[in-house]
Amino acid sequence: MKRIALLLVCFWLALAGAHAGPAFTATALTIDLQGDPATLDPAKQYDTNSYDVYRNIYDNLLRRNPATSAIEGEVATSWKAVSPTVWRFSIRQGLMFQDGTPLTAADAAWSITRILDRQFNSPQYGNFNTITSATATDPQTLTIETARPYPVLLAQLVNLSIVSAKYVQAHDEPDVAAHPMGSGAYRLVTWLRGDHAALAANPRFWRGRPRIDEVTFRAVPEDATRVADLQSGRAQLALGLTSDDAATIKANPKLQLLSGPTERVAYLAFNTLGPSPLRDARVREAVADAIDTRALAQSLLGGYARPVREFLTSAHVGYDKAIAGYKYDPASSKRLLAESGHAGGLTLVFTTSPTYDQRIVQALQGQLAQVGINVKIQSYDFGTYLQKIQSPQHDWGDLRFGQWSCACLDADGVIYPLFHTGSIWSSFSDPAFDRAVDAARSTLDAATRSQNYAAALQVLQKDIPGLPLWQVIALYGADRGLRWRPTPDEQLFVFDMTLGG
Amino acid sequence: MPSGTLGAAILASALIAALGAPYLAPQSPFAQDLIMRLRPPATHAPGGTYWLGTDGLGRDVLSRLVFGARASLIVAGLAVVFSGALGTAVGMVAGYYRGRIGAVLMRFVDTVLSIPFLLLAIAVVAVLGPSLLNTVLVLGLTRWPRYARVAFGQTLATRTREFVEAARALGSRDGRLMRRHVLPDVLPSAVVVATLEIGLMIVFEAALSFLGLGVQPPVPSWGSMLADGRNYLATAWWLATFPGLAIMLTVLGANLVGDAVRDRLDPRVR
Repeated sequence: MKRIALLLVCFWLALAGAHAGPAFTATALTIDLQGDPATLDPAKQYDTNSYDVYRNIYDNLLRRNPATSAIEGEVATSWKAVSPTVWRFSIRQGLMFQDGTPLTAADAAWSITRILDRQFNSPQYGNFNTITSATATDPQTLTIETARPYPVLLAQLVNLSIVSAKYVQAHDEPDVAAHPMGSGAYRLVTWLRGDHAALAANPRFWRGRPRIDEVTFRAVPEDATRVADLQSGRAQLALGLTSDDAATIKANPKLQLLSGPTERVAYLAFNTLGPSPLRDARVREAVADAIDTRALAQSLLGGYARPVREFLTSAHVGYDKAIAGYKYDPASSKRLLAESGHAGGLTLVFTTSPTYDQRIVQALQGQLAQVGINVKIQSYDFGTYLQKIQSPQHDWGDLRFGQWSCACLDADGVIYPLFHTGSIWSSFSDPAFDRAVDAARSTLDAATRSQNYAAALQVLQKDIPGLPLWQVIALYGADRGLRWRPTPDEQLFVFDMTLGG
Repeated sequence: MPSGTLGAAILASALIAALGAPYLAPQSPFAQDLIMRLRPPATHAPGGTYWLGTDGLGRDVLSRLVFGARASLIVAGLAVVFSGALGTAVGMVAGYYRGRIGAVLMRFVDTVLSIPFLLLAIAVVAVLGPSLLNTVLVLGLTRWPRYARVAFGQTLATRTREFVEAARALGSRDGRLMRRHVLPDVLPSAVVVATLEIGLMIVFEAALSFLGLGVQPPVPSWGSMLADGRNYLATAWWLATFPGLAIMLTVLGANLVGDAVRDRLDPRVR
């Protein structure tokens, strides 16, 4: 076998020598992710590592302009709401899957239908469950009907990758997850689970041949290793860097720090429903007043975070600039603790997982200690953590830290899942809040939506089921030769990148 | 200086650090100062000198190192006593009775050996929650088979010796025989295993804390300090270096003592 391979190499070398023209050098890019994709089936994805890889293999129905975040066509060229609950999308002509079959409206329809199948158990179900049917009315027209007017439909369709109906029906689930086949800029070459996924450019991509020929996504969980990979040239782009890495990257003349504000908001959520001292709104306010968000953002995060007053950034639909937020006021915090019967101190359980930045968790613990709140950190592996905080008994502890992004730039994707009664993430219940967010998600009228979100945000400001901390600024380390601009929804389209002189 | 004495001296100083932490540590191990974060060793500040620098939250590394000795030594000590007692008892019973009881017990030992340590650790933490005592429990429950094997072998050899036969002929019951005659013969080997295990336990505690499943912050342990420091290897070398040195020295000390104890007690070496 080895001998045959050697012969082949000799043969190939001889051939290469015969071509006397300028040598073709492929541009290759290596990207260090924080982990391995869980799946490459777009309807089964759950984590950003999966997103980062498969988004390059599939096309989405719609996309956001990388510079303006405006919604644009991708697989669909134009769309229209025929009635408040019926939408028509024209599908781009001449699109081809990587196996040579054409992409039609039937594929787009099936991409939605399989997510809506409860048996299929897609983690994206919640984003699309207002859709009652998706059908191909003709080969270039996709018709989507919703149960009620659904204002976030377009924003959610930005996250819908189009699979080949024929391909996913012919292959079983694990096969589709391991061998993705889309119409995107890259096709999967190899995927060694837990190590790396290698992609090659799709020369027939409808937007033109990608400028980077080969991409390797490596799973590198250690932050320090990702930085070392950049320094040694082993990787040209690394994700998930911390503010402490920023200085290292900036000091290296061969590297550059790419950063951009994201739509991700860091927050502290309180357990207002369980057996917790935080059932008392005064204690929640005491916690809110004890936290110096500005100091954390400046010192701990090196300024790579923007303090916020609500759970939304100014780019979100529903953002209300009238929300006052909370002031750092330890004296008021101590007074509120005394009023609520905790003058002698109070112990709270902070439930968390190593997945979250433990520097932040411990810094919050340190600030609460200043006003006499003793915080006990309980750390679990991520699976157990999720099980605990999503338990319907709300017996998970008192505080938790999170960083939320719906990749949809809409309040509906943020405050609805975080605080609506009965949502798995919510340990809060308020009828006025529920009414407002329910009303805001069932009308297409922008003014009515803003009004309702303003009302909902007021409830959050007053009742404090959680404390908004800051808008996360994503930090990427990159080779100087890489040209790319990070987007607020943290998408990683290699097609938008160029490498080298 | 004989190596055993050196080892004992190292362990003794770790013990003194653990016991006298409140008096020895120059500052509180919990006091954060975000302005003074990541300062190198021997940084002077109004509040005193940070001899080993500060960590990512501006806490004094020396104070945390001194206090960290507590968690590391308590976990290592208790886990060794727990697993040693359990393992020796199981091994002796299996070796003394042999036959079906012995076979069942020793197959059980094999089964426990086949369970991956970390999997069991994650399961125990998920059920009982993370804490210092649960760390001891996890380590104790996973490390006892080693003692069981040693005790089993030693008991097999001892139970047929003349003095045991004589005691039995005089009417001693099984329990008394095992306690008074077999145990003294098994104990030296178990102690040797234990001294060697102390080092491993410190490393395992470090591994659990490294994964966030051991001693919970802000209580320092050498393992969690090492875990925190790994991301700063290039920018703040002192964060991982000093707890790493502390672990290395203590494990070295425990192993030197272990070697010396073996030289003294192990009948095969003697």
